[in-house]
Amino acid sequence: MDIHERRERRKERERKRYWNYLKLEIRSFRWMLLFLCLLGLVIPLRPKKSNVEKRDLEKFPALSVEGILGGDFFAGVSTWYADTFPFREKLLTANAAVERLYGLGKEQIHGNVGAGDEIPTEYTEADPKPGVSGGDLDSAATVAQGDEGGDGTIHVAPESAGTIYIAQDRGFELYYFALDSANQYIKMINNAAQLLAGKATVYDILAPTSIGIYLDQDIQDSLGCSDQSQAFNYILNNLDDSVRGVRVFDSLLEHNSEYLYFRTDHHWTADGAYYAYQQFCQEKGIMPNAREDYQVQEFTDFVGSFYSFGNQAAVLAENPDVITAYIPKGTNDMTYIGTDGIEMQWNVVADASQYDDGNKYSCFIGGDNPYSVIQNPALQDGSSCLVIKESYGNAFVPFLVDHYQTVHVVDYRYFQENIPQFVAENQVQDVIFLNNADAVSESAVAYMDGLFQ
Amino acid sequence: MVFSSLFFVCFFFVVWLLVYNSMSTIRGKNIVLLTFSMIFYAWGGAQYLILLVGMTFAAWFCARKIEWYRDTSLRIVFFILSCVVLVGLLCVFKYTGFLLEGFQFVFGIPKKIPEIVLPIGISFYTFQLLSYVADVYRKEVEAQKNFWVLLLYASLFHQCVAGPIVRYSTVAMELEHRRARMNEVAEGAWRFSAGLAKKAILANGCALIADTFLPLDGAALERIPIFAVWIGILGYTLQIYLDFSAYSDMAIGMGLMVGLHYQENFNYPYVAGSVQEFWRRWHISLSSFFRDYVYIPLGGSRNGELKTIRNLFIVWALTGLWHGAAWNYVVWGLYFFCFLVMERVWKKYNFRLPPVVRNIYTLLVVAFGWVLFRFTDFSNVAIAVKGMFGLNGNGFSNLESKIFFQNHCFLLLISIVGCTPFVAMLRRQFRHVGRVWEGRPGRILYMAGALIPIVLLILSVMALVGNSYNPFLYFQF
Repeated sequence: MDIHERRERRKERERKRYWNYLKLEIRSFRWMLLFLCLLGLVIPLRPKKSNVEKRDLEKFPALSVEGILGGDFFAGVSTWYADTFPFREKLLTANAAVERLYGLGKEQIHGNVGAGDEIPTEYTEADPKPGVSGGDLDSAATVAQGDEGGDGTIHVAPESAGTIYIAQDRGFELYYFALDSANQYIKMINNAAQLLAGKATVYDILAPTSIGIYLDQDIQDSLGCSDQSQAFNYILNNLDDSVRGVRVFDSLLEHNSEYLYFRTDHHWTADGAYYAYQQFCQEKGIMPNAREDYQVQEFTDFVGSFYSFGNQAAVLAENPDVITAYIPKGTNDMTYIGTDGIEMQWNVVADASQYDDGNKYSCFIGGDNPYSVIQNPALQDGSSCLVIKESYGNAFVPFLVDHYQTVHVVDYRYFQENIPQFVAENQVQDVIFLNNADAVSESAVAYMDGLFQ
Repeated sequence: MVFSSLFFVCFFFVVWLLVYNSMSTIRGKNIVLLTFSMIFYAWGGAQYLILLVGMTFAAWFCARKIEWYRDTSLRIVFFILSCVVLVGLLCVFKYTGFLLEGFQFVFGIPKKIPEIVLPIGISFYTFQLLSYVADVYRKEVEAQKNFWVLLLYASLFHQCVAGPIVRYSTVAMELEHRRARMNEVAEGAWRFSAGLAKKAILANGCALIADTFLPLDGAALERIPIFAVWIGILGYTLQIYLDFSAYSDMAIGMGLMVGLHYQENFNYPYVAGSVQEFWRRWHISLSSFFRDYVYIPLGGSRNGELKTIRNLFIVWALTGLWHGAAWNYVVWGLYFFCFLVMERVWKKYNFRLPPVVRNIYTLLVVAFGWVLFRFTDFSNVAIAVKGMFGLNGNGFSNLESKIFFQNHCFLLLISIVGCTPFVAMLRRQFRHVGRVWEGRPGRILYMAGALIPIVLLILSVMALVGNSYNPFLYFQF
């Protein structure tokens, strides 16, 4: 074989190789596209709800002439197609894993960092400067807290939540004081107290969020966060004398070496709620039960809202929370009316071990429902209270069961009746407001105010 | 419909490829291409389709007449008629609000400015049709006899809504006679996937950086510390190139898959050593349009310094205005005019910056230009500029900026590399080595390279699903 021939052969081999290369490139590309296309066409594979985002996904748009001419219909189809793509959650998780490679992420922030309003010591009307007030104006996005009301559907229950900061294995929600909202809150509570004067005692419990109890003050400052203790003092100091403000911040802070807040979720644990309950008992002048006296139930593998709203931070998934629930001594039975208006028999502490990992906080009083009621057969004294709450109240309510014959619970985001009337009809003696620091927002106040109109 | 949507990538595009490739004649293929282009365009609202078809008809009709009257002075009448119709409609839909606002500012009337929705892609296809009529008028191409072919040219979904502005002469032959070669189909698959990944992964990632550190809202912008403002500008600079060039990549790729050759629209603009060079590398189809149809007809640089500067002024004011109907775009265009004039003066006196300084100077000029481009409101430009030099009283950095930067530093790095010829060079080397390296490892490595497009495709689909995951879009409270 001479050198010429060898070179020719070599060239030929190269050419063949190049040809194969092209064939492989084109074929793999076409087959992959075809696969994706077919996958997208398998309608039964399309999810209807998102567990990780806790929302219902887009529905196929309704057909209309205007929709076709104006393009809304087609835009709706595109959105539906993308939003309900098969294996959506798996793809999301995979994508989040890719996004972690974007940088060296020891700490993470999801959402915008803003600035809180100055917290005054005396009552001050908010400066009507537009666009600069912090709090819910800047950072209020929504944590739609899913609740498993037995049937497994997700009721999108919005809760104010904003920017999430993840450090080590724990999430925090940044807190910004908004003077306007605080003032509206004060007015709302005072108005409620006035309307209920002579009928019931109004208690106001303001629950700190984990950032105020757990996060180093310097880091809080560098994130521009407001001091929750100061904010609560401002509100409680400006409440009417007839309102009994329950100060729980210091007690929680004092015990901050304990497991008072979830790492992966924006709620407090039952232990966090317990210290608030202790302070409530002190304010009311009754003896709290000791934690050791309760029967305890534990649910493992809880991965809550910080995970889903922190772009599925792996550190959180790798360190799931444990929920400890204390079963009331008097009874574990309750009744609730769901958002669909249907009455359900339920448990004060329900077995959440089979719930989705993100929904296990719903073990307390069946999650967020418009109205729930617990009758304690161990008491026959006619005592009764009404808790007006957002989801922080869920972990708190079980502790009240042993102190009242009847505990009424309303979630102000769904309940629609008039409270003074309700109080009169049901002979409620204590009306307890329970809100976390972020629920002191314009929208939440508007909901609560609506119950007194 | 946009290229970077799951519906386009996983459905429309695939169905189009299947149906198109099942046709055996060029006529059949063209019918498929036209039908899909019509559907694609109607996706943004079927009513605008009438406009696209109507404008194409006007251009087709006038061009035919121009050719018919080729030796009489009537041809100019039809040329002017077509320009009036095309430019007029573009102005009505794009600039009515802007013009009336100016009018209202001066004269106080009209009281109410009508809100006109900008039909998708009108800026692009109007320019394509204009270039067609002008070329026919200048006897550079023959008028297209078949209306449907011209409609295919104007509405081709590859480039109808986001460029490149393809000249009729570039594709005139291929519209009726074309063949897709295997190596070009493969190249098309690569360009398409690379473009998609560029948009879905890099550009969208950079957009997040820009939105965080260079927010459109003035009050938020005022709180951003110095370091973060600069990172925001970097993010926006990267985003705007990656985003725009990604669309061109995908268009060129789709063209290659069916044997249509569009010219390159970008040539690594950020490695340019002067503003003039930048504009020879950036959105080439637009700058060459203005060069061929405005600058040169006005006399170009042949009639003395003063006229040259006048011509440049007109071109750059128009370039600015083309990008959007707002003053900041005009200012943005004239901003470049100033630098171009300055560079002309430099050249005259043989002044040259040292090599690296040249690149930095160009990048700074361009990046600052993007700040002008980003904010329609001049007061926000002022806030951004103050922020760049620490005049908003925010210090150099803060914890949030630090964390956000740390979490995105590799993305920024990859995006920067993506703006240079490095990737293309790497790919060439890789293919070369793979081809000459005999033996099994060489073959495996080489063949693995052929799978890069599908890897990019999968990553992009993941990112696109990820994009639809945005809790902050779903406000409830």
